[in-house]
Amino acid sequence: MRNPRGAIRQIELLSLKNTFVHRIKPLQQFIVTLVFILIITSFDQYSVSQMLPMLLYPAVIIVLGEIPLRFIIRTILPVIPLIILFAIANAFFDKSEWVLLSGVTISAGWISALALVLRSLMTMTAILSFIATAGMNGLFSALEKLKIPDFFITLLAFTFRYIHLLMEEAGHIIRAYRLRSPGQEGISFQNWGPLAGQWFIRSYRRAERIHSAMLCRGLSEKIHQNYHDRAKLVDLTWIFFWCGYFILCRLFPIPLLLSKVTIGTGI
Amino acid sequence: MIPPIINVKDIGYIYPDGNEALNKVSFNVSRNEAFGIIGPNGAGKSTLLQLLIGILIPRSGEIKIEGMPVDKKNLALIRKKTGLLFHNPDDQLFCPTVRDDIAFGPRNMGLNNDEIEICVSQAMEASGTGHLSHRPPYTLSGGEKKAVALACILSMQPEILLMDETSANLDPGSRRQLITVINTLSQTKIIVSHDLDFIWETCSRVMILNKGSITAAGETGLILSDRFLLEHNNLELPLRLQGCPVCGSYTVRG
Repeated sequence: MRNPRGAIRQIELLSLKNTFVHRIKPLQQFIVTLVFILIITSFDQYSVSQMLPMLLYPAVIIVLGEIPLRFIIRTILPVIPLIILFAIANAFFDKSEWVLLSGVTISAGWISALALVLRSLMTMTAILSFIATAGMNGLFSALEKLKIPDFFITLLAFTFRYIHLLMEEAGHIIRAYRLRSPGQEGISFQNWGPLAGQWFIRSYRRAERIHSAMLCRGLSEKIHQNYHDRAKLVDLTWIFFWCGYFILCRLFPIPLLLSKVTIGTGI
Repeated sequence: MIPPIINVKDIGYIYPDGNEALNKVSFNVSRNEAFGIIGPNGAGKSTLLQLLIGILIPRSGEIKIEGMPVDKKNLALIRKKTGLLFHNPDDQLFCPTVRDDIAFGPRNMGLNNDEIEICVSQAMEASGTGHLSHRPPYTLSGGEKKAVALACILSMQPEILLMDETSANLDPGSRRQLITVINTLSQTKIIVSHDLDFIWETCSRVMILNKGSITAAGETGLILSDRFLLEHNNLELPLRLQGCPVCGSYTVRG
């Protein structure tokens, strides 16, 4: 199982790179990701081939943003069983028949299951790629520019920082426990209560100290995000290019058209 | 006569669990003075620093910074003028990069991007942390974290620096570097420490706090060379005054 603290730190480290994608302003990246998700979710439940060209967006971000594919897979991995469970349930409930071009008839449920898996994976990859290139601070500054209420952004920022802190404290407690319980597998049941209590108290006190440090450095009602300068031509081109491409993918069956052009028949 | 920049009069503080941390503590600190506070564990030193910056509010007495009482009304202004360096730098560093952390205070002060950039650069230069600017704080060594935490405070250009156990957990090289940096800072400084050699090198005046009360105050050289007074307060002579264990000779520096 992946260490969540390690995943958070890796996201932060990845967001510090200086690639072409990292230099795109967070707001523009956020808008493109949002449009991508909206378009992906708007596809018909049986549109598998029509959705495939949308893969280009996460693929480009991963390559240009130098995001290790291993990181994406490892982060998504814990959720995959849940997606597959939903997809299989879908296959059993949808019993209508679906005829493939080759003449083979299969249950439409399996097509929609495949579409569901594809949709979920592409959405999660796009979100992860956004966070890994813009960083959490990028997300907060994008939300601030979109005039999302300060209260909501501050809550989100504190929650993120608090998760970090919870993980750190849990790491310290578990390490101290393991060092004094050699040869023991996991944490014994009777220690769960005291350790959870300790975890809560320690995290709470630490959070209080960090909050005091923030107050001492002038924190008022909201956390001021790191504003970058105004959007440049490249940022606007980024939005128009990708949104245009997504709309094309949504309106026209690109794989069908391509196969007609190249081999003279549809898929 | 120049009025003191910090004026503490008869303050007392009791924690919610009933533990009396401070009792009738009074002292003044002049502008640009380096003032040390020493004492055993649990003497109330850190509590006193938290009272000076308004994290805690005294149960009795009054604290004035530049003539302004430390109360809710003046808190924002007082925190602009006063910077607190926490005992544990991990409590102070919470942003993804060193630069973001140093810019946190100036951003909250409402400065524009150019002004923030100037404040950050000056603070990094003064603390010698320029080479760390793009590193995530959790990848730094203890000494680097302390230096960055100091830069975070300096970027707000405070007039008063409050430092809580600044030299704790530092290797000799990092400690020496910190002493050099602190001695170049012209601000008023209140330094809380158990490291009496560190106090010797950085402070001109010192106060001993024990069980929430002041037991002695005066010139650093006089207080720190009084073996009986120090031992009575659970402290001991600075190493530089303890003499060589072999020949018994002294080397006093600073």
